[in-house]
Amino acid sequence: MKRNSIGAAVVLASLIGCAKNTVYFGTNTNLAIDVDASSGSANIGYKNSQFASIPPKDDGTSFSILGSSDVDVSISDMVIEEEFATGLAAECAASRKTKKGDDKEEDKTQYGTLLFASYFSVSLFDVNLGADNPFLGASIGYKRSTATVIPIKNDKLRSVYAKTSVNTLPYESSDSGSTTNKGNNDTRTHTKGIRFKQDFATGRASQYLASYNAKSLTKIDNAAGCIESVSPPVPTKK
Amino acid sequence: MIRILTIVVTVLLSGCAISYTDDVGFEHSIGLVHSKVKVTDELIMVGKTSFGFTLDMTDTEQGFNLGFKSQERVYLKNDLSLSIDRNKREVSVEHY
Repeated sequence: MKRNSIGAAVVLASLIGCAKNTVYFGTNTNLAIDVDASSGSANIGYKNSQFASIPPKDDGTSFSILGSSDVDVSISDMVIEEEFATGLAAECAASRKTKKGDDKEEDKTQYGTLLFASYFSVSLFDVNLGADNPFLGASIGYKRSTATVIPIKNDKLRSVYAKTSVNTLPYESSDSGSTTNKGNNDTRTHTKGIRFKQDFATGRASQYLASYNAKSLTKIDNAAGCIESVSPPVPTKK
Repeated sequence: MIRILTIVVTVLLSGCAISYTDDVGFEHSIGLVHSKVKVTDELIMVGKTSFGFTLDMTDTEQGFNLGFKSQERVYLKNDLSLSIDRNKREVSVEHY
């Protein structure tokens, strides 16, 4: 019975496929019997994965996208960090020419609806369907996913920065000076549990954060980003 | 132990909820659902938690679940950064 159900889900998922007018980024953590349509894989047990679905432009060239995944897991601890940037934010992070005030404006008429989504389930059976569903697949057990869905409008991709982290390392009060003023980059847990943290940015904010995180995004030590000042303008917190 | 497990499983599976989008685009959730919505000038954040049998037929989510399920969607305006810290239960928005 269970085998038949999983088989049916695999067939169903493979028939649906992914939307061609959307860019997806996401992370999955499963402790389950799981069929993941985004990666086209099936799994029994523990699985941690990062996925990206990036269709080409109409003319066959590629969109500007930077992505980085860092997984550091031991028996007792786990540190997972995934970040990515698209559009002008990606170009900004990859740039080595720093010029003050070179934070380009993008065409704001080209936007579609941007969606940041998270998903958590502990279930006897869990099925997600639909071409636009970033959590497409089936599972029995524990499933935790995050996804960023960026629509492609008129063959253009808007500027976005996103970072997802899962960290079990404890925060030490003596390290309090190590945090930064840009979204607090310290992801260690204050509760000795598991800390889930998500950061998203759009427009100019995405360019600033991508520029600030240029080294981790590009894995190039001398990556400078396109914005000269390491410290972005002091944000207005609400 | 088995009795306790049986009771817990029975309670967790006793819920039922259905969500769908109607012809004019409104999203409906009917049944045992905890829904939370945060609307500010910068973002719209929609969270939905359910247990038992859940059927989703909305524009953004289609599928079904038997067990516990929690999902969250955030729509963010431009030139903003959003930070969600689930342990601290903090949501902060910064303007640039």
